[in-house]
Amino acid sequence: MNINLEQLVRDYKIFVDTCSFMHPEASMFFNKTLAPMLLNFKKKIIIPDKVIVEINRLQNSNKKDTSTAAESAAKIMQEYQNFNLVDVRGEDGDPFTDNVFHYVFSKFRTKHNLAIITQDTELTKIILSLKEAKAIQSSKKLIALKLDKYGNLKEWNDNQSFTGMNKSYHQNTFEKVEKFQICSKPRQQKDYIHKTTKIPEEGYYVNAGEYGRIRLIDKIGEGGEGKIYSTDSGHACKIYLKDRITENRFQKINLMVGRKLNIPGVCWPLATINNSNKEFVGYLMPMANGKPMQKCMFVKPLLEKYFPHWKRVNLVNLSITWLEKTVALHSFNILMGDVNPLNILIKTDQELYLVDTDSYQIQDFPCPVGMVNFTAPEIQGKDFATFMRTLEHEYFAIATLLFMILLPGKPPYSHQGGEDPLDNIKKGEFSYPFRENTNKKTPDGPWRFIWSNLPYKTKEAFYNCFTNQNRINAHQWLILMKIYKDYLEKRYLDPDGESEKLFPARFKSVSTYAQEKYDAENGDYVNYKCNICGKQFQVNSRQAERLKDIPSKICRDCLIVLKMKREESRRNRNTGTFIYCVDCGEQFLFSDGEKEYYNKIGLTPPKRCKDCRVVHKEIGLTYMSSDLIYNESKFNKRKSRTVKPKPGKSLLESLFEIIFD
Amino acid sequence: MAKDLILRRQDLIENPTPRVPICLVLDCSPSMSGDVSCGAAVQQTNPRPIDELNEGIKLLFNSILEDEVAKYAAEISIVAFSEVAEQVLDFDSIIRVSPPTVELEMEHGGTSIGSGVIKALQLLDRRKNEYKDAGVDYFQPWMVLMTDGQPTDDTHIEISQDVSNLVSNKKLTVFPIGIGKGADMSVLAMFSPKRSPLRLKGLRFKEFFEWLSKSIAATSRSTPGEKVSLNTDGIKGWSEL
Repeated sequence: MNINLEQLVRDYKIFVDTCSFMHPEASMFFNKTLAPMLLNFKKKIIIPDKVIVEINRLQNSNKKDTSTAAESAAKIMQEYQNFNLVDVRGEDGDPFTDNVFHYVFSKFRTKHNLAIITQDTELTKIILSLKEAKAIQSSKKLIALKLDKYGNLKEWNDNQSFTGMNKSYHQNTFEKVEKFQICSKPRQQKDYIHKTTKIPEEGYYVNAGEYGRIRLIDKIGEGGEGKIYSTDSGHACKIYLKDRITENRFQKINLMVGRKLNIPGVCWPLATINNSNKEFVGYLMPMANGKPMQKCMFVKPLLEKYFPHWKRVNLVNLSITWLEKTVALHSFNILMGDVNPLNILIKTDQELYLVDTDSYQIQDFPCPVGMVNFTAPEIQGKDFATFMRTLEHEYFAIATLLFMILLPGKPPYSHQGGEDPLDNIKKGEFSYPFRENTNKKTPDGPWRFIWSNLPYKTKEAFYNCFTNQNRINAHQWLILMKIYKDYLEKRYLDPDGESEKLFPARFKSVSTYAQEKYDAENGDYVNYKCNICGKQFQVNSRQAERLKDIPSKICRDCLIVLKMKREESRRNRNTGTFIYCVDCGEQFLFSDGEKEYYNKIGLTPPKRCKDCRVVHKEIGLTYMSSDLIYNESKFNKRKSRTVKPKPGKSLLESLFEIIFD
Repeated sequence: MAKDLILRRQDLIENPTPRVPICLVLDCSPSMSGDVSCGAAVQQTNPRPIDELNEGIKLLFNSILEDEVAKYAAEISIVAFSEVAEQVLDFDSIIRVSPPTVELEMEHGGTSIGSGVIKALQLLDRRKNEYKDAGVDYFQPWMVLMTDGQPTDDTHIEISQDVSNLVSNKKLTVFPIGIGKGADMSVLAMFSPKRSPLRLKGLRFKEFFEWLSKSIAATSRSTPGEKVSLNTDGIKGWSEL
């Protein structure tokens, strides 16, 4: 439904959102269509000042498409300001853009006819929901509009189902973050200490780049490198000690700030902090929450005090939450290096914060610190600043931390008669029994019971890591933990639920699941090869009967993983991020499920919507096939190869123009 | 008593935190009354040195208890010596005990430093074995040796050699502290091949124990075997080298 623009301009207060200014056809609409109409009726559009902040921020985006779109949006904004066609409004303490619109619309809903121009589904949904607020009887109208791919104004379909499309363009703008390079040597440039005139303290104003001027409120932490403050922008801020402000640190933080890593709970540097003399003094980061792992769960009394309702499944959830972040970090070639229970903050088992990210190993910046317990034997005693850690080293640290989560606080190498953990790690003396292997030095008390109650595969992974230095990666651990969780929920481990306790009080007894497995192994059994992992697995005759007619034979572990994946993708199908199609300019949903799949197979997110993808693919294929096709279609080959669709037109349309006069 | 033993054992096996065992070996000979007539170098009876010492011990316990990591790591035992040595407090989790008071020993007049150290080494050795049996990680123990006078027997000559060897082999860390002008620093030095003994300025026990608790806290955050640089700058403030 097209809009009567004249009526709109005359009778409505028109609000415009960032994303519409960044639409490929924005300048066409705003400059050529809307501006004359506004001039004609001496009207203005209204925008929250947060929109301007956003456009400024996006201009610095490291994604070319985004920065270009933001630059063109900025030009439109400038024109509008020059001709006095825009009313920029804002109050201190305005929340994020979406909330501003909601606030303003609900406030003026009964006084004016209101219109919003946005490409954002979520915002539209929020605004249109005001219409349904039955308590308010109003004769005033409220409409939501968007630009279509030709730059025409369209009304958002009221009845359109918005369910699940819950990502907004604003805070979660999808920007592809480039992976960091992997370097084999630390940088050689000599480091030196900056001359810094002033170290900001509580109450000082500092400059946080695109986040503007912010005030340090309270000191909330202190370490060997600097102090952490809360700020009036709701972020946290690390200010380094004077002699810790070095050139390499400055460059590292800049490198990190340049990649907008958006992993929930990872307190990644958002902006560098300068003092009033424009000298680098620290960085801004998301506010963390919770207590350091060491201080809230590594001793039984503390664990019981802070998480009185926790059971074993919560420890497993915690492991999963942490592993997900770890997997994400690794996918960008970032190593945590100094894995350590003091820089993981726990709010709940599903809400963790990783702090001190400025020590992570990135490109040729090594992580200069580390704790003995989390250091792989082959690098024990080495100076961490002099070499680059590898993933193998990190996997050792991961296994150690998981062990200390599942056996709360117990380092894997403590054992009877043990003396120095360092020696134990070097010798690979792991004392928890696996199969027939045991050195009979397992620590006393709850530890051997917890160990006994772990799933077989988890024990195997720990045993291999700590005894044979045969380490598995974060993703493999993630799968193991998900299987563990599933086993707990299905009571596969101990038939009386002993395994589900935080601290089991006895060894695991044989579950029906294990019994079946045992029967299968020791009675009549049939061997199958798993179609997925390729491993041999056995089923007993009863199960074999059931499996007989099923063509694909899948082992139990793979089945569980499959099932979990299916459940997860079902959950993820409706949530995700919106991407602008480079061909048609329409937004399309890139669901979390798809995202996971893309990540897994190493693809970058799609640039085109599904329709355009098909077109793109077909045309791409045509290019590649024989010359015959070109000849036959009177194709100007040279010209066709350089064709680039104008923004806003699909590739197909562009081609039509070339092919047909 | 049996119940107490069970609890002690339970804490040992259930608490996975690597332990920092510390033995305080304290002089409780009559001179610690601060009375010159009892052998004190300087008259100082209000408060008496022994009172200041006890205040210091309380402060040590309390400030460790305030630290959520250190309180599960620190284990303190106390040996008091005059002519003979006596165990005032055996090793245990600091959470389960309250700070004891070291009493002056007025009956036996002597200052047998060696007996105190022998007793301390026995306690430390026994505790180390308990850690090993339970499979608990621990840091090499610390021994804080405090005296305000001179030894009245020769027990220290032999045992100081053993202590020196332990220190050289990194099996023990010793903090020898002289209290006031009367302390024989050369005897204290025999126990410490690496670190020179320190003489407490006046009666600054508080400052010393504060420094000690901070050092314990710093150590408890590291891993046994890892180098922890104790902030010895802090020592300079309250002692004379």
